[in-house]
Amino acid sequence: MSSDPELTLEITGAALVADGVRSLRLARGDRAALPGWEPGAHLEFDLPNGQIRHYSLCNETTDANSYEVAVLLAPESRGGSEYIHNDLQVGDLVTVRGPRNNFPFAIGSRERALFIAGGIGITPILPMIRRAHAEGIEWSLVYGGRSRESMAYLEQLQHFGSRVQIVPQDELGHIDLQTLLGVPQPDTKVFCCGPSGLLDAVQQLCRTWPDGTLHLERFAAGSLDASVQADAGTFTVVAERSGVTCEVGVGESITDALGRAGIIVPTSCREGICGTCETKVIAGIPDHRDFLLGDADRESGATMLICVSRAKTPELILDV
Amino acid sequence: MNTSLPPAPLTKSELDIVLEERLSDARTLPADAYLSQEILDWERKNLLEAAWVCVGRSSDVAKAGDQKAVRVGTQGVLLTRDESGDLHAFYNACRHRGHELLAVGQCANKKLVQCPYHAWVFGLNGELRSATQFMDTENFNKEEWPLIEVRSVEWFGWIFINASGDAPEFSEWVGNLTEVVAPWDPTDMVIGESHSYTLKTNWKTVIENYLECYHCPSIHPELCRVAPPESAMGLHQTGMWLGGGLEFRDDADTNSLDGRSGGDRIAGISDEQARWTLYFMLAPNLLLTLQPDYVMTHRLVPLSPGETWVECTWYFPREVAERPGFDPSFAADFWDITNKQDFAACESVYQGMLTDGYRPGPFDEREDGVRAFQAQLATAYLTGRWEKPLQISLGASHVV
Repeated sequence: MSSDPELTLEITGAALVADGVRSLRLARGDRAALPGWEPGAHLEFDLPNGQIRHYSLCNETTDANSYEVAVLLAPESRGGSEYIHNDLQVGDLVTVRGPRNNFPFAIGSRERALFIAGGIGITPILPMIRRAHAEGIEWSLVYGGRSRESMAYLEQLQHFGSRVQIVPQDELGHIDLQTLLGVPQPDTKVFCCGPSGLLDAVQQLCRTWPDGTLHLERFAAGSLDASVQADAGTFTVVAERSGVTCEVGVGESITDALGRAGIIVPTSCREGICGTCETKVIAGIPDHRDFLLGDADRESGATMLICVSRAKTPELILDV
Repeated sequence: MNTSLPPAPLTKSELDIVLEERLSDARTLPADAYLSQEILDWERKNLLEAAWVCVGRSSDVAKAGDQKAVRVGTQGVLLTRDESGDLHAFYNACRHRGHELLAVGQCANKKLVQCPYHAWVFGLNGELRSATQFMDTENFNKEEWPLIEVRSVEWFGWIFINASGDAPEFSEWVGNLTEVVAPWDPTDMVIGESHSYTLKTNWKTVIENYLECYHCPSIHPELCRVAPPESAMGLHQTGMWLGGGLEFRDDADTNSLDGRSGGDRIAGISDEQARWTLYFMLAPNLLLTLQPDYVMTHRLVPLSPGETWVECTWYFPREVAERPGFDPSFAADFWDITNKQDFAACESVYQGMLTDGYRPGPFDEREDGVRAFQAQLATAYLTGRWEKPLQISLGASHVV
């Protein structure tokens, strides 16, 4: 499914950096340089239980020989974060692909960056902050979490002084998004990562801001697990024109599931980039995982790239 | 591009007479300059592609991922807006087998530029991102196959393209027009209304008609009601533009059927500037009209020697256009009437040029703008180059 090179990396360090948050350092066996990356990038992990998980890189982009991720032990973990917390040990080998970037830190030199992080959503934001700081871009961060103890990297962030506003829920309640975002600010880009409730609220308030203001990375819907769960969940696809219904299994693409049922949809890249398999959606809400569609097309849900995208509803009816 | 021979079927003597030192000795261009397909082909290559051509408004590609394919001379150009808000322009041809990335005239919003033929995909900045199933070929390096960039610039919210790559810098091309337009600052103005017209005439007749008001008493009763043609005066220019002004009558505030404005005076302009309509022809294809309360453009695209597409657009300050109940028709109705009067005249001139009796004619002093434009063309036909136009007065005793 992916053209990114597969890397076998060694766990060279592990630490509990907050309640329920474990950071992992990874490096090549010979400690040689790793592929470079930009703020917002993530790695795709193949876990021994067959699951695939995505975790944001949070170390320095200039650190050429190691990657760092931080993983929250999700209360209703589907197994990914539990494995990373309880089973992985320093010296173990893991298979990853990437780095990839769906959340680039795209900002003009005269623009301000407003970062909003919820919980483990701080991970992709950290490298963005370092980049903004290094390039002299005006920035500020509002970082919310359940409690100080649960919030990773607080110590690092305190060095930045008043640019950083820490909002532990047990002391200060929720982030006051109304005050923060109620009035559109000129020349400001908003970068947000966190649980879906926070993202939904931010998205709602940013509607009155200029188009292109908001950049966000969404975790799996309704989950605190930082994994994107690319291949989690089964759903039904109805091929309307062919009159065929099939189940799309865990780890299976819609095109593969349709292929099993004898319906061949031409594909080319099979990674959500080229658009060959763009298909009209008659009913149901797509969970877009592609890199091609624009925001309006994404929101309308009228078409989807069925080599990678999945479903937010139990059923999708497609024009195939 | 330099040539001592004018493009067939024009002759040097026919062009030299356009360039006569004294206006009264000069004559208009010959009919073939308007009627010949060969001349239009030459103009597309040597006048349009070698210039900074206006292809539309920045808001046509406003958001990250917006893409639009446009025509400049004979060239197809793809415009994109990237994630940082920067505009890019590329030749509209895939680096693989040359398929157009988007059909000319079409728009898209995608995070990538996608060639529909073999599904090659490029970033909004032109870099090749994926040549599907091509990557295993040895010696294939994605970095060697980016889209080929074309020069582009944004000026007060309009997009200009230089397809040939060798026009003077845009700042030199527009010269002092930037200072002249600055008080209106159309950058953030929004489009209140836009009409497009397909005229059965050559593109140059539309520009020539715009450059003189000698015809105003004969065909523009509405315009003469708000501005006396005898108030015309020329503007001092240092770029590839010609311009002049008409002063409003004391009882008129703007160009509308009753002389009243349905908007607000533009914040940046002076009391004196609010008394005038300023008309500019920015070579080769943009007519820009500044008024006390709104801005208007005519953007020209030649379709054939006898057919021209004209887009007329009215722009208003955002706070005016977004006011509940705002109605741009006070401006659009006035100009729609005036446009149709002008366009009928231009189409009729073309019919006259098609007769065997058409001969180059003389210029009145009020038509020194037409002469200056034709002299620019005659010089270009002779040398292959755009030269700055002659200073004009439009018949006034002085130039401002």
